Amino acid sequence: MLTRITNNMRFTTIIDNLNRAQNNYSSLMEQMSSQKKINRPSDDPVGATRVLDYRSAQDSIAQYGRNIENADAWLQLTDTKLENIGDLIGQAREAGVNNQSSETAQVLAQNVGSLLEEILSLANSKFGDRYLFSGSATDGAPFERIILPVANSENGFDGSVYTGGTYTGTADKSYTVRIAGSGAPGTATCELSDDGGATWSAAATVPASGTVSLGDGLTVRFGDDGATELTAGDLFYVNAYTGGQTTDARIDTPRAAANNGFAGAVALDASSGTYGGDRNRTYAVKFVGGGAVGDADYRVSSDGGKTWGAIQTASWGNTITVDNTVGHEVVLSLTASGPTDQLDDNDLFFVNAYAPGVYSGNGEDLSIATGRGSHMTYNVTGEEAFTDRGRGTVDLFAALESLKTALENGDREGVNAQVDRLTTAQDSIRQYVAESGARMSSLNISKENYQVLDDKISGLLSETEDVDLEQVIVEFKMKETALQAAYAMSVQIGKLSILDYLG
Amino acid sequence: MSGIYQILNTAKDAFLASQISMEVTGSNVANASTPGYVRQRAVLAAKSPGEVAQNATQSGVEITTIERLYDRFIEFQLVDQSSQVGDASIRKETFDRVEAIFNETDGGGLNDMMNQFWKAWEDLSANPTGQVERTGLANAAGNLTTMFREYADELYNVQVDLNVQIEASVGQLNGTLSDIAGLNDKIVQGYSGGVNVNNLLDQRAELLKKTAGLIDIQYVEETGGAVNVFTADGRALVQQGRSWQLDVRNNGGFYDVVYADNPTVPINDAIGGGKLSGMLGMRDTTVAGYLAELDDLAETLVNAVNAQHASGYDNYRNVGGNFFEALGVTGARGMQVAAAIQDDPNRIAAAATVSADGDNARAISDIKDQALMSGTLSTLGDFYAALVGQIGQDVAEAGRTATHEASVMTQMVSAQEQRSGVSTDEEMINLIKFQMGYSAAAKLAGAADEMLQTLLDMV
Repeated sequence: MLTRITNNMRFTTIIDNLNRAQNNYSSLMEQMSSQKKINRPSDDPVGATRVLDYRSAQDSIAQYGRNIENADAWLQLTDTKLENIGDLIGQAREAGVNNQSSETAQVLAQNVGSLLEEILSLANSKFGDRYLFSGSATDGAPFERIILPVANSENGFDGSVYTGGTYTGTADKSYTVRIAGSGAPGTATCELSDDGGATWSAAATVPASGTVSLGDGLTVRFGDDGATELTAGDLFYVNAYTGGQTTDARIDTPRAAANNGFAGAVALDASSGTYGGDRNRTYAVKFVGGGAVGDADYRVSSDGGKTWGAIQTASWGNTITVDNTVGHEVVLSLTASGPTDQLDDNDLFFVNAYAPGVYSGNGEDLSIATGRGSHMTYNVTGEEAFTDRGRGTVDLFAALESLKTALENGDREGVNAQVDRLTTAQDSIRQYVAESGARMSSLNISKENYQVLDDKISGLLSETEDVDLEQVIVEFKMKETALQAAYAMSVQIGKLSILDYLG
Repeated sequence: MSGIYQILNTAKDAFLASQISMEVTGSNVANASTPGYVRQRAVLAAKSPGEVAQNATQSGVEITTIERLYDRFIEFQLVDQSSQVGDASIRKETFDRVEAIFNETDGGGLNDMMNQFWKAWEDLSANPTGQVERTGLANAAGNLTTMFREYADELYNVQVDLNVQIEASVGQLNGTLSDIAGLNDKIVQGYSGGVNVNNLLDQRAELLKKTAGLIDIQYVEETGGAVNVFTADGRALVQQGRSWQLDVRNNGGFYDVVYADNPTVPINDAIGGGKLSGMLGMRDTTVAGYLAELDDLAETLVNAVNAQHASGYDNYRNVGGNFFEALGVTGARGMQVAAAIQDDPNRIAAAATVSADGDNARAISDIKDQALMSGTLSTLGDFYAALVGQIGQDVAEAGRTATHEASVMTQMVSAQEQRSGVSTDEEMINLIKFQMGYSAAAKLAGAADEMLQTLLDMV
């Protein structure tokens, strides 16, 4: 039996066909205008997922590239500064080597002094507003002009000597300490001069603590770590500079985090000793759960808050010992501002403690992500480059200051000893120059690899989401023809009817 | 004697038959485009003579019935398919909206914002005290939360819109059900009174399809002419002249479908087809599922960043607080950067120690590479990409289903059209046929008249 074709059927067929042709046509039109074959996730769900993955990978690569550029810039600056410093050390060394006559010695000493200041300002170089050589404590200058006690090379005494206190004088001054009577501190006597040895004070006993007051707030301390006691005729020179940094171990004033709940005061307790560590440290105390002074539980960190000790729950009066090395305790005391003043959860207090020497930064590395899960250290710490702490070999600024003083005082042997130290210092600086050069080249290799990878991913991305234009244009033409045919047909359909043939 | 008058009577029958046939043709032509109209045909039968005679040669014609030309089986299939199409079409429409939300193909979406966020942390790790980097990170974090909120809000809005549509559809359904009940009454009366109820039958068939488009039903026709309508699992919706009204009841923000006379028992699960099924399924399963995944993503991100942030120190040496506000019951819809960070980017804890280093910022940027999602199988970015891929697949699938169901529907409609649709050509030819019949009857009457005249003239 023949199919009955009704009016509705003829028109619905036409409408269906027109719709289909138009859909195909507009989908191709969209692809042509957006140049993409994935215009919504359902066009190709797997492809859409891949596109997102590729985009994230490209973003990561771009970021690694930026990280590498940052680190590279930092390293380049470090490299330049270290090379300059190495050259200046060489000049200072030459001054020591050239020390032939006493007339030139004073000139050479001045020369070394200005080289020292130049090196000091280089060692305090910044990258943007961050200090290059402060370790991770990049917000503070790592070095100050040093107030160094220099022992005469013919001295009997072979223990350490430190300066302490804060020099309050308004002009630079040269102090000299001369031992008048031999013995250990408490027995030995000494004379002082503050005009380079022209006039001397009366002999006085060196206190048992070994700390002798020089005047203007400055002290000098004889350590008990030597084999030979103070010997009559021993000479110690101290050049004091306004605003200079003394070399004895010291502990900063403790500080509280800005948004602590606790409103009271934090201070270094009187029971604290001299800081006994051999590297700079930041101690921190964090309260857990909060409570009144003496009751609140807390934890102590000796690495600036990176890692924390066990929670301490015993009552603690008003003092917390953050370093319990016997004789060298570091103790904080807390005083509430009123009866209702309490410690809150996460209230934080911290204190910087500095080992003897002049470095104010720390020995921590700065690092940057150079790839998924891989990090690269990009800084050279002042500690390793310019001090004898941690990985460091020579206290550069002490050597320079000693050289200057030895030249001033015509101490030939002293000069030679410092020239040797400076040679070592120069070698170690060169080693860090080489190290940062190696890091830069490894960064450059990573960067090039990333460029290659980026190109590949761009290729993959384009393959996944971009249209093959030729193919689309051909298809578009085909669909256009189909659509035109459908239009032509739909116009014809109404024309055929039996009504046209009825009289 | 009977002869000539009988001829006139027969001619009268023929006039009548032609006229009625033409009326039916007229009605067919007039309703050629009326949706649901079933073509009709006057069924003619030879009228047997009054008494059985030995050699009865004459018989008149009579209209036994006006037949509705339709196929009950196709009708059943059409009703069933209406449910499939209703379900598939609402799903497709909703999916198109959902897909537009997650359209990441042009960039600038959530994926981009997440990448920007991690990049800002790395920039900060390179310069931990830099105000530009801190403000940049606060902005990137703000954009990320805005994007999360927008996506989640959009999904939630889709749910809310579906909810409103569910309420409207239940109202519409109640209307069609009571209309069917009303028609049942009229049809039963018409049948018993021998009245032509073809139009009413057409209307009721249309209403059944409309009902099935909203909710999947089964129906049986009683001998008296009434149809009884049931849900797929056999609950009565219409019985003869009575319909059971449905209603919606608020259940935790969204509506359940219930019987008006039993409002505490939701019948959501009994609805397996029609738009209502599509709306309920999209609202409670599909969109709710996407929203849950988005919430999961937001929650994992917030918790991971907050945990790492708390082990660092801000520019004022404070222990890091929350970077994001903890997520509440609204999930990703309520995602916010912590107020303290918004107010002062110096509160961002970039340092791992109190010395202003950038190691904590780096540790936070490392979160992007940690497999935190799907039971430590994928990273946050992978999880999101997979979600977009899943949505794409679901949309494509829904599109295919909708196209398939629609084309099945087209075939069935076409099958029904073949049987029940009006063809003007055919009607025209029938018209000619009935016109000729009418002319022939006139000739017959004329011949009988002449014969009678001849007879009279003989007198």
